[in-house]
Formats: sequence, structure tokens, C-alpha cells
Amino acid sequence: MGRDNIAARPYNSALMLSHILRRLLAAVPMLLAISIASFLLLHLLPGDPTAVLLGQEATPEAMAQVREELGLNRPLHIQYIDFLGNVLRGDFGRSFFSGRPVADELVMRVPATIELALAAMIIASIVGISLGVLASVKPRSVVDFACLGIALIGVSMPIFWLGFLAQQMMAGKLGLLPFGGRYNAANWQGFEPDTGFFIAEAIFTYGSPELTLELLHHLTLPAFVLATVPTALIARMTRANMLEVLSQDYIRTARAKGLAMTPVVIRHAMRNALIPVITSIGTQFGYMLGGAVLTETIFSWPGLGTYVVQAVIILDGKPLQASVLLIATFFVVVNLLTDISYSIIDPRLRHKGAG
Amino acid sequence: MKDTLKFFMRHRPAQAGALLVLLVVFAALAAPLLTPWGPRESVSYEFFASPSSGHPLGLDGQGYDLLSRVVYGARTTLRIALLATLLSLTIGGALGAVAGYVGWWVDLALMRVVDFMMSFPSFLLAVVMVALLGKSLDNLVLAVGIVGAPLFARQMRAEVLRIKSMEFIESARALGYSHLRIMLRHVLPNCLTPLIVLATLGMGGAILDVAGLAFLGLGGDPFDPEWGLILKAGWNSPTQGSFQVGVAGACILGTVLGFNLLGDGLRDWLDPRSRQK
Repeated sequence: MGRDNIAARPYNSALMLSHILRRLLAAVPMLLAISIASFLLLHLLPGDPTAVLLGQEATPEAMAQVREELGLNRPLHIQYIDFLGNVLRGDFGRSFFSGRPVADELVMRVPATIELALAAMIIASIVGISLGVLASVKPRSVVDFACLGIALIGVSMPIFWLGFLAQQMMAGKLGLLPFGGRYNAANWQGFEPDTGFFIAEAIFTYGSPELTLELLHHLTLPAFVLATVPTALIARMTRANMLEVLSQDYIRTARAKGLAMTPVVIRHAMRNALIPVITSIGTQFGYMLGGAVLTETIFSWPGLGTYVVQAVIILDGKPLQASVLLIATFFVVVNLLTDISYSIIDPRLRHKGAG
Repeated sequence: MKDTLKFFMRHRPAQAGALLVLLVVFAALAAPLLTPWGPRESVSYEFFASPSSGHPLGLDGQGYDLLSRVVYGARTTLRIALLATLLSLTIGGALGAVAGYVGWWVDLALMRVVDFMMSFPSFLLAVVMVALLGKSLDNLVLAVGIVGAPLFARQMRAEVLRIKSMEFIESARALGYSHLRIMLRHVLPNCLTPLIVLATLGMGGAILDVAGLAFLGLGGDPFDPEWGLILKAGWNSPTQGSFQVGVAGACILGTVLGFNLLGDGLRDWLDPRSRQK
């Protein structure tokens, strides 16, 4: 079964637009379901929020008053509509633990995770794709075995163990990189960013190269550790796709025309082989926005993952609810964008419809 | 059967995987024979003592024998991962089979549920499940098992759809067999192999998830013999506990690697394209 050179096919914008619209529409019920689930989550959590607020010695009258104030004795669907309204206004309630509005905490934590996930994704894409391409060009070479080995160990590695080893080595023994955290607060007391996008703030608001370096210095180790699994997956996938594409007729034709191997690999093979890899990079990124839990914990990274774990351990409902809602929404949006970009890159999709 | 053996004899990675898995299973089964101490038996007050002839891996931070902790840990970890994988297989398999066989709106509804569950990073979903269920090793089974189900559901549905359109199913229907009989006797047995591959690979993932959740402190009792907890305990005193962290991590890596190699081997065996090579 021969695949033709799909990257060379023409585009049809009307069909593509309808595909994109259909995808957007399909995401709406998903987002609604996510909002309902995260709303119910708060009600399903063990423990009574009023009892948590007032302590064990609360009188029934005081409890009833708090329930009234929190709106907990109204019908569930009314509460849900209220919740949805609040969320759309950016009000996620208050954390029982810190007493601060959850929205204020998320403004710091979400960007921290985005920064980390972006860095990891860049590392994973560069390393994974290069490894995969090099391995496929020379099958059964040292590079190929290295690629397979990394791909296998990468997905089998307990990330918290790798994190520990990296910390002990790079931060402990060699003293090259810091153990954790985003920056050394003691040295940068004038740094009071408005959001958690520290690197962007350091560059644009503060214009301080030293601070930017300090932040990057702290970002390096966690980003590399977080990149392990996606690097393995991307390398494996790139290698498999490249091997398949390189065996196609049009590659042989290109070679027969007298083209050298390098341009054939870059212009003909990679363009076709990387289409599915891009989707997988998108999905991986979505996973990382919420799935960086372990890496964040190891490196005391104040992101969304550590926020969720902390909320689970002390059963702090509102932060948990808000994080779940946000992470699932991110995930759907990232998948949607990946899907749309996929349909732009791969014109074949148009002929299959929305399936 | 002869083919299988021949394939296995030529597939080095699968052999390595099988060896690793057998080693861990043996350690788990023979735990009381391998070490005279129980997993929670205080041996001495020399916390983090170095390996000696009596204690091949030394002692941990509670003065327990580390080797006993690790071999009994193999029991705990394997038991939890196995139960979780079986749970995923059962729930996911049942959902996927019903969706694929019945079709129509049942398929649509069930697959929406699956999509919905997959709209959330699975490890984090497990963390949230533990919040709902309570922190304990037994609840990790439920959390990891439920979170893993959607993958099995998708695979099962695809298999059932493939088998359903085959001629022997049509003839079974022409003979007037009931849906239940066709499903259980004709469709399911033909779907099992790909699911077994998925379950083998799923064991690796389940072990990582269980250890990760325990590491985060969601496993309940921190002194239970479980690899994630052992690793965490060593982590908490990084200067003395490094060796303990190293041992526990190596156990997790080795076991997961074993299941992944074995699963990859099984998949190669099932995939006729790679079989010919």
C-alpha cells in the first residue's frame, strides 16, 4: 500500500473551514461536561465544608447560617448556574487553607506550569525528532540503538527517581544547578511580578538579563526531567514514521532523480513523517500542563501540579475544583488546536469528514 | 504454539523482559524464603546502616531490613498493579465490547464518556480520585484501575467492530444464536490477544502510577512496604537515604522495563508485518 506525497497536495479552504467549525462545535458539550464534573467534585469530596470552616464545636445554628451564606441549601442546578457565572467572571472562590482567592493563586501557578511545560516540550521536540530522524537514516547503527534505548528507558523510568538522581548529581555533587524553586528570592527582593510568567516579566517589565539567567538556571533541571517521557515517545514515533516514509516509492523516485540523501530526508521524508508527530507533541503538551505533578513536587516548582496535590492532601475543595476545571479545559483546547493544525498540515483529513 | 516458541527464542528484548518479570514475581512469591525478617520488623536502631552480611542491603530509616522491605514491596507493588490492570481490563473491556457490539446511541454515549475521561491527564485524574476515595493503598487500585479503563475500552471497541463484520459472526447470527452467546462465545475470544498486549504494557504504566501516587503521600500508611513509599522514605533524609532511593528506584525501573519489553515483544509477535522480518 503506497502513500503518496501528501504534503504536496493542494488545499481547499472551504472544506477545511467546515472541518474546523465542526471541531469547535464538538468541543462545547465537552467543556460543559467538564464544568459539571468539576462542580460536582466539590459536593462529592469527603467532609462537610461548613464543618471545616467552623471547626468541630460549631452550633447547629451557626452551621445553618454558614450554609445559607455559602448558598449550599439551594437546589443543585441553581448552585451550578451560580458556579458557572462565577467561573466566567474569574471568581473561583477562596481557599480554606490560605484564605486567599483561588484566582489570585492561579495567576501565579498556572504560568509557572506553562513555563515549565513549554521548556520541556521544546527540549523534547528537538531531541526526540533529531534522534528519531538520525536513527531512521541509519538503521541498526549506534544512533539507532541509542534511540531505541532512550525510547524504552524513557517510558519505563520512574520520573521521581530520575529527578532525585539529577538533583544529587547536578545540584549536589557538581553544584552546577540549583536544587529547586523558580529563583533565589533572597537575592532578588525587588522582584515582585504581577503574574507567574517570571521569564517574560524579567525580560519585558524588569529588563534584567541577570534575573532572566537566574530563572533559566532554575528552569533547566526540571525542564529536562519533565522532558524525559515526551522525548522517548517523540523519538520512537519519529523513527517509526520516518522508516515507513523512507521506504515509499516517491522517496526512491526522488533519489533516482539524482537528489542527495540530505535534501530528500529533509524536504520529502520529514515533511510527511512528522505530521503525526506534531499531533503527538500537542497531546503531550496538554498532558504536561496538568501532568507535571511529580516533577513539580521534586523541584518545589510552585505550579498547578503541586497546587492540586496540596489541595488533595488537605482536602481543600475550591482550589481542587478550579484546578480540575482549568486543566481539563486546557487539555480540550490544546487538543482542539492540535487537531485544527493537523487538518491544515494534512489535507487528507478533509476527505474523511469529522471522524 | 511451536511458532510462538520459535518467535520468542529469536526475540532478545522479549526474553530480557520475561526474565525481569519472572525475577520480580519470584521475589514477590518467595519473599519469606529470601529473608528472615518481616517487612515491618524493627531489626536494630542503627538507622540507615550500610549493607553487611546479615543485611545485604543494609537497614532503612526505621531500622527495618531493606532487603525484606524491597522483596515484600514487590508483593505490594505487583498486587496493586495487577488488580488495577485487571480492573481497567474488566471495566474498559465491558464498556468497549458493549459499545462496539450494540452500536447506535449506546456506542455514541459510551464513547463520549471515554473521551471525557481522556480529556484529563490520567495521572492527575488518579490523584483526584484518591481525594474522593481517601488515601490508602487499596484505593490506589481503584484510582489507577478506573483511570486506565478508557484505553482498554477504545481497543476493545475497535476489535469488536472488526470481528463483528466478519462472516463467521454473520453465520452465527443466521443460525439464530442469541446476542449474548455470539458475544461471549464468538466475539470475545477473538478480541483477547490485543487486549493482553495492552494489559502487559498497562502493568508497566500501573506500577509507575502506583509508585508515583504513593510517593506523593497518597498511599496512606507511609510504613507499608511499597516501592514508592520506600523511595519517598529515603528521599526524606537525602544524605543517608540515597542508597535506599537508589534501590527502590532501580526495582521500579527494572520491573516496568520488564513489562514494557515483554509487551513490545508480544505486540511484535501479533503484528504479522514485524513477524516476517
